Amino acid sequence: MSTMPPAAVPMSGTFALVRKRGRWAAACLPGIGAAALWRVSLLHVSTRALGEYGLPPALPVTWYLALAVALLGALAALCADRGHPAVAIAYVCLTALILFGTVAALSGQPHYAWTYKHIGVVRYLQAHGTANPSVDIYNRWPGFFALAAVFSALAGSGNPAAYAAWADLFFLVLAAVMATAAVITVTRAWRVGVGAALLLVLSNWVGQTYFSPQAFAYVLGLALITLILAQLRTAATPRWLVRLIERVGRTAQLTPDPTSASRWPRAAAPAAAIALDAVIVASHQLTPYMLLGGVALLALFCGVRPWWLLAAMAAMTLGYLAANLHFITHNYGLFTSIDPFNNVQGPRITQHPGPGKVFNTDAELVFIALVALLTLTATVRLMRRGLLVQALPFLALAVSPVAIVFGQNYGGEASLRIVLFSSPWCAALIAWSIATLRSRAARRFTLALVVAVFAPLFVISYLGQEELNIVSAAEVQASEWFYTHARRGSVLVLAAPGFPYRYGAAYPQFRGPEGDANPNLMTEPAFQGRSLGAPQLPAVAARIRLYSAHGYIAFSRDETEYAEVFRITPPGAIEDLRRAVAASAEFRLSFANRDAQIYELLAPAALPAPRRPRAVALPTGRGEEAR
Amino acid sequence: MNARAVRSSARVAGNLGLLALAAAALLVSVLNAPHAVRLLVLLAAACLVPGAALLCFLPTADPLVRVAMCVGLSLAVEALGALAMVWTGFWHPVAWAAVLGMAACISLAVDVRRGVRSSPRTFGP
Repeated sequence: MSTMPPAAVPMSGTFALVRKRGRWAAACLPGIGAAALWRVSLLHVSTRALGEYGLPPALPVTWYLALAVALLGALAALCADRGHPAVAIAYVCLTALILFGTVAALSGQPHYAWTYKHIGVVRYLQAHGTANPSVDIYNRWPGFFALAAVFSALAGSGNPAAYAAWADLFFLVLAAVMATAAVITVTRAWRVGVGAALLLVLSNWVGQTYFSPQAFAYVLGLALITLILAQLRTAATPRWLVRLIERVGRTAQLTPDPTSASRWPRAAAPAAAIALDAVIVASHQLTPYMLLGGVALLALFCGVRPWWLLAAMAAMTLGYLAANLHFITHNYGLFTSIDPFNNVQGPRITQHPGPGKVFNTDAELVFIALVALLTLTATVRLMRRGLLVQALPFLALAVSPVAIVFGQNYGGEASLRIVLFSSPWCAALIAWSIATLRSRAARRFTLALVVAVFAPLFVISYLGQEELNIVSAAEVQASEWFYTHARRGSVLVLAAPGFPYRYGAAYPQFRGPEGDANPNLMTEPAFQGRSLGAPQLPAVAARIRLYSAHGYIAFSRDETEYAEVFRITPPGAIEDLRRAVAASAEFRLSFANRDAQIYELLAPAALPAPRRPRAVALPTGRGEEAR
Repeated sequence: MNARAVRSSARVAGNLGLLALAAAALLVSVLNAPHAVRLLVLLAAACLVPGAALLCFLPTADPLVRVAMCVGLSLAVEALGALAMVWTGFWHPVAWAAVLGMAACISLAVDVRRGVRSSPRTFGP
């Protein structure tokens, strides 16, 4: 990888053009082979019996071979003297397809049970054509859902689940395009831009680009940053800062040269920035604050002007919050804590995770530490090479997301969001610093080494929990049945997390707490760490009646997997509880298929006369309705 | 052909491609094409056409930056319209798409015409 374009070979005429295009086509051939190999490699992979190490052990060698070819192709295109950005971008996209398209190609369903609540909101908007702020937080920030509802209507798809499985790949590729553009704007070197995109793809393990407002706002946020860097940057880096960097680095710094031949008319760029930010503000709760922090640092240290843009963004962000303040403070709370060590903690699911989950967590922590270390090293390297003042926008944007830990833990996800928002800029710094290495061999070796370390860590971190995240068609069908046929005003309680909930357009007609998840039994100590069965039935009924006189309890394959992989319950305990529910006269089987069973809690008056416990024989066919 | 003429011809070709994409989006919607094809064509059109129409009036030198801006502005414009619809309850997604698509195509067509007129050497023998 080099910051300098290779010298052009003097050639002219049709022959030269054909020869050049032929060379690009030849460079793409291994990629086409890798794409075919990837698709074929998935033909015999089953996602039904994944162990606690997730998907990686279940993937065949050919899958890893396809990934290796994609990565080698990207490296070759980035390091070749006569490389072309289109070839490098194609290989980065192929890498993204293999990493982010595998689950979609295997299961055909959106992964993550919590994706389905987003689909439910889109279906609600499609059905009603209006957002109802009294329903939930999503109806108060409806930007993404409204756009998805429009798209579903145009695509003739009543249910976004038809395409939502591919949202991870779609948003990730868009994010990579945006990040590449932003990096090229600052560095003017396509190899650094595409190299950063490759590292972004490989370091974006946090799984936040699924069908969600976060993914949409993230992409728009990157577009906003690209716009600001391309159009609103001046050379006004504070002198004291330049002097400080030069003093620390003992190297004269090159000053940024943001002059561009393609400046927009005076008011166009701020107007476009405000339009982008307005959509982000109305689409996601956290992203506007992350952007505000980043843009504030850009204005302070990187000469982004006009100042009033920052004021306008702050006014929109805070004004929108003010309009929803009562709802937020009533249901979630505005601040969690000012203690960053507390806020950076994730939700503690269990005290005794299995070795697979310990391995996943360790890999994630190593990955975070490695990226942080490389970013720090890259910053020092750029400073020593006199490029840190030019790279300040990346450093500012990489650091600014950390501010969140001084106020919010964001439902235990603050650390994940920091990784998400800082990863493009960490990737940019790392890619740029590699490009400054003097010898070509050193550049090639270092980039290959970074990719070789990132790729396995990514596979473990991103695909290592898919035994919990992949949702089967049968579970989706059970959820569809519930939101179509279940009694309105009732509540759906889950035995454990993992069931796709709030999936139907009618979801607001059901009870439950405001928040991210449906109630589940595993949050109560009475169900944790012990055998389950008939003695827990009163607690199950009480949990349901906490929200409604009528309710249901859902058992599913993923719920059982969740409770057992995280060792919240002993093996077989959830199944024992299900058998007890099935045998109880208080409950009635409402729906069952091979992966999910839904039982209705009967009202006391509807209870039949006492009788002997019975065993329920579950139908084995897919999607068979029990009643 | 100088660099400016190459850029101009590339821009005209790009805009013609986008007009073709918009026409394809209309066709797959009207002809009830296979679901996957319809999704892909509509997605490509939704991500590129409105933003490209806006960028007809705004110079962008680097092609990758242009694509990024195109996608960002497209999604933003569409989302603003979608937000207006769900906030007012005036839910007419097909009409909104038709108006937006038509406005974008007019802008692209005007830009193509301007490009052809401004660099006749590009298209000459």
